[in-house]
Order: sequence, then C-alpha cells, then structure tokens
Amino acid sequence: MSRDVAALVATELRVEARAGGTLLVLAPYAVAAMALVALATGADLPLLRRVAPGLLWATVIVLGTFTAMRQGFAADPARRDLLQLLGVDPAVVWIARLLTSTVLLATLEAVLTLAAVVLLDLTIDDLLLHVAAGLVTAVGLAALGLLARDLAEGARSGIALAPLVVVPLAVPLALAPVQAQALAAAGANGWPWLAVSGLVATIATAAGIAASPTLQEVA
Amino acid sequence: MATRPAAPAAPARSRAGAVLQTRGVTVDRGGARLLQDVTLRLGPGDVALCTGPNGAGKTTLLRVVAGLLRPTAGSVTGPAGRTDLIGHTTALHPDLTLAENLHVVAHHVGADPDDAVAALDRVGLRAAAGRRASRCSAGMHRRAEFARLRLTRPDLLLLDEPDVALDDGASLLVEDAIVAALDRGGAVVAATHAPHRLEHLTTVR
Repeated sequence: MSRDVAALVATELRVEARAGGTLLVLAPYAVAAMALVALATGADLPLLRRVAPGLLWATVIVLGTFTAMRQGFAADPARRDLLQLLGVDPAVVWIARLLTSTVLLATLEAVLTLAAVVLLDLTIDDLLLHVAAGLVTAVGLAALGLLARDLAEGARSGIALAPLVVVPLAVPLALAPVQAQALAAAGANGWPWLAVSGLVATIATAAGIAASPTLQEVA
Repeated sequence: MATRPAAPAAPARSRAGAVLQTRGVTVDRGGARLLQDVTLRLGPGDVALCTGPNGAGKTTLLRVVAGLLRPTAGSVTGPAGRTDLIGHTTALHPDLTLAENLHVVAHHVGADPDDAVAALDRVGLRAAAGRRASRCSAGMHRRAEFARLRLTRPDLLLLDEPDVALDDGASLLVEDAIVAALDRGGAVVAATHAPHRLEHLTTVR
C-alpha cells in the first residue's frame, strides 16, 4: 500500500512540477497580493506588523484552496477509472492526492511566510510552533479541498463554486496558527490552539478516506 | 441496444466457466433508465458486439461490467483475473510522456518499467515514448491505450468505440488486442454505434 501511495505521489508531483500551477503561478500571485497590501497602506510598518499574521494565513487559505482543488493526475475521471481497473484501492488514491496537496501547500506556506517577513515585517516568536501549525493547516486544507472537489464533481454543480464551501470550513485552519503565535508572543503556551486545526484536519481526512470508494464512483 | 454473442469459440478453449455473467442488470441515473434487465453470459473465447445508436446505453453497460458503475438492480460477475476498458476518452495525462503514463500502469500491475517502452514499441510508438501526451495526436493516444493492454493483459477486454482515431493500419491493433485476450482464455465486449466497422472483428477467433 505504501509503495502504491509513494508511486502516485511521485507521479502527482511530477505533473505539478511540469504544470507549475502552485509555485509558478499561485505563489507569485500571492506574493504580489501581499506587496499590494504593503503599498496600499503606505508601507505603514506598525499597521503591517499587526495584520501580518492574519493576512498571511488568510492568503494561504484563500489561494491555497485552489492548490487543494487542483486537477492533478488522479482527479481526472478517466484516470480514476484506470486506477480502479488496475485494482488500486480508492483510499490509496485519496491518501496520495492528500499527501501531494499537503506537500504543495506546505511549500506555498513557506514561500508566503518568507514574503510576509520581508514585505509585512512579520515576526515569528516560536518557529517550531509556526512550522507545526503550518503542517496541520496544510493537511486540513488539502483534505477539505479534495472533499469539496470530489463532492462538487459528483453533484455536477461544477467545481467553480466549491471554494465557497471550503473557505468557511477552513476558518479554524487560519485562526489556529494566528492565535497560537499570538500566545507565544505573549509568553504563553500556543500549542493547544493546534488541537483546533488538528480536529478539522483529522475529521476531513477521516471523512475523505472513508468516503473515497463512494466519491470515486459518483465522480 | 442489441447485444449478441459472436461466433462459437475455438474448440481448444474451455467453455466450462463464465468469464462474464450479468443477470437482470438495470441502471437508473438522473431519473432516466439507461439499461433494463440485461442478462449476458460470456465464456472463454466469446466476443460480444454491442450495437445501437447514441444514448442506447452501450458505454453504461461497459462501465457496469467493468465495475466502475454500480447497477440499480441485477448482478455482475466478472473474471477472476483482470478487466480492462479502452474507453473513448484517453486516460493519458497530457503533462506526462507516453512512457511515464505507462510506467504508472506497469507499477500497479507489477511489470517492469522497461515493459512499458516495449509495449509502446509494439504499437509503433517507440520513437515517441519520451514525448509528452499533450504533443501527441489522438491516434497516438489511442495506440498508447492499446499498448497498455500489453501490460494489463486483461481476461475481460472491454472496448468502447475501439477504432476511433485509428487509421486503417492501426486498426489491426484492435484485432491484435482481441486475439490476445481470447488466447488467454478471456472474453471481449466491444461497443459501437457503427457496427459495420467492427463486424469483421467478431470473426477473428
């Protein structure tokens, strides 16, 4: 099973490397958006410092949703059929898609964090907490995006509206890293906030794996 | 839609067990009845040709038989071995080369990656093995799909409009694929809305 997951993740990442949807299109667009905010406030550093954490994670959620819902290799119905005919467990396919999106989202978060430090004067008081919160948010957003995409395809409602479903559900994924870092800055323990985003990530991941056979058929 | 078994199988092939058995398969989707009470039994060496106009349910039947679509009623019993379906949309990813696309298949059937290139060679695509699928023609895509069959070696081969995009020479690939499946003791179901193109295939055994 792990070999099949690894092979599919490698294929998905190869496709992404050639298409460049996340790092060559989305990441520069997100950095440009941050630069615009900095310019629009007249480079008001005290103001930018205050809004930087919220702006960083809101940008991750809003633009990262498109990465989480990307087409990729296994999202296409014809290739899903092929994988099913090859005897690949739908849960294996779903986990591979989840891991791929998580890697891409974590990379996007790293780029945007760097951009926020440079453009918005973001300060990170607890780097380990920031990394851990970013990983949990990446998993949660990846799972929510995949679920929304698969359900929208099955409902034939079109995936264009699916981000509108993901963003409200992803609010805890933005809130947790911001509040955790705020507590760390005040010298308090921010780690309990990760339980909030962790709960969303766990529920969405479990739901996706459990529903993967049904989602495969309806898609 | 008409589904008729083709000529009797070659005597050398055992007809003891069914490769495919459907009983009373009915499919309803979106308030419409797509298939009603389809019963079909194919033994080793059988080739069935499904004919009918657009919307007759040919593709739906193939998807049900392949296990990709659950019937509303009835049952489907497939072969003990593998089933493969060549549909009318390609499963190749445009950003992967033809070889890379087949490497994915090779991995999941436990074949050697080199077998993927060999399979492409057998369908005349060795020179294009390193070319991205997005830069290949529809006919090349179709050939690559037939190359896949050399890796999956299905016992039940399902073909949906198999000669679409293939030129006259490449149409032999369809015949080769059918013969190979039958030689393994398998069975074939081919669907088309233009039966005259496939009539001759039911006599290849």
